[in-house]
Amino acid sequence: MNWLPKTAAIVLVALAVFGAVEWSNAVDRYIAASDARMRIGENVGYVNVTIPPVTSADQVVNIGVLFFVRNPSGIAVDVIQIQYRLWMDNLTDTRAFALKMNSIFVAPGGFLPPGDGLLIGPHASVGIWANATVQGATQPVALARLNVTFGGNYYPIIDATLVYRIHGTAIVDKVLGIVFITSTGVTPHAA
Amino acid sequence: MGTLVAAASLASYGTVATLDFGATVIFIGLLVGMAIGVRLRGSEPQILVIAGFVASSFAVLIVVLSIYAPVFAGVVPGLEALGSTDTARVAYLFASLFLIPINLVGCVIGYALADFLAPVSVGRGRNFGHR
Repeated sequence: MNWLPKTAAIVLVALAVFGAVEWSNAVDRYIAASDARMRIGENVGYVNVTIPPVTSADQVVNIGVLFFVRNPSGIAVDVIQIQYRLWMDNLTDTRAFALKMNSIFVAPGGFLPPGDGLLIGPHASVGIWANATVQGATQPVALARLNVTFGGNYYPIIDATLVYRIHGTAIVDKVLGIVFITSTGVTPHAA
Repeated sequence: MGTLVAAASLASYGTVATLDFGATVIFIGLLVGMAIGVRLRGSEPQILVIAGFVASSFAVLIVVLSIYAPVFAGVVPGLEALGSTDTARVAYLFASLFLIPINLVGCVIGYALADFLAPVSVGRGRNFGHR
């Protein structure tokens, strides 16, 4: 009968070892993922906005928006998508943005990486180009709204959303309201 | 026991082995209880109950500490800051309380099993009438 207490002791030790490995891994990832979710919103922004000059009514205009995303945490994240809406501010229209937004909206844009998303390692940064296209031949209203300059500069307004996943988990979260507003304008030039 | 239940409650964070929370509470609670019961066969029953209660209470404490780990680590002000999914994780705390009765049942089963399998010469059974 000596085998039964010994077996019980072995079971307890095995469960303790397995549990310790599982627990340390789970809690480590849980804390790192929580850290990422709390701080990634402060680490997403704009680097550059490029809008080419509009020279013809049937021009295909490719608008480029370069985002930077920094992963401040100790766990990797996958960028699943970036979506944004682009408005071109009309400085002569002094109404509040909420009142004039429908009349100055140009086009949606975004970045949709293939597969499981764009991997950003722990404490790493990436620049992501997210493009929007306005086809003058089929979107004359959008092209007209885009082609509004003051002093030779565009005054775009962008509101973006970033959707990401904590790498290797089922945790998907998003950052809303990544806003770009310029007071000095954007000089027209191609990306 | 507590570490495994805590890991099961954090299964969505990609642990080494994905554990089902309910199954972990039931089977690990019973298994550990039985192991404790077998180990304490020579002890008085009240010691067995106290041991089971202490073990399961300690396990629940580990679950509480694990679920609130980001708060204790100072990375979030509260679980509600992480959204409804993580607020709902607090429900696991209440579910983990089932470890206490399940573990006690396991202790009793293990104690009885060890007593049943023990040879008569080493005190199998407890004939209180002859004491």
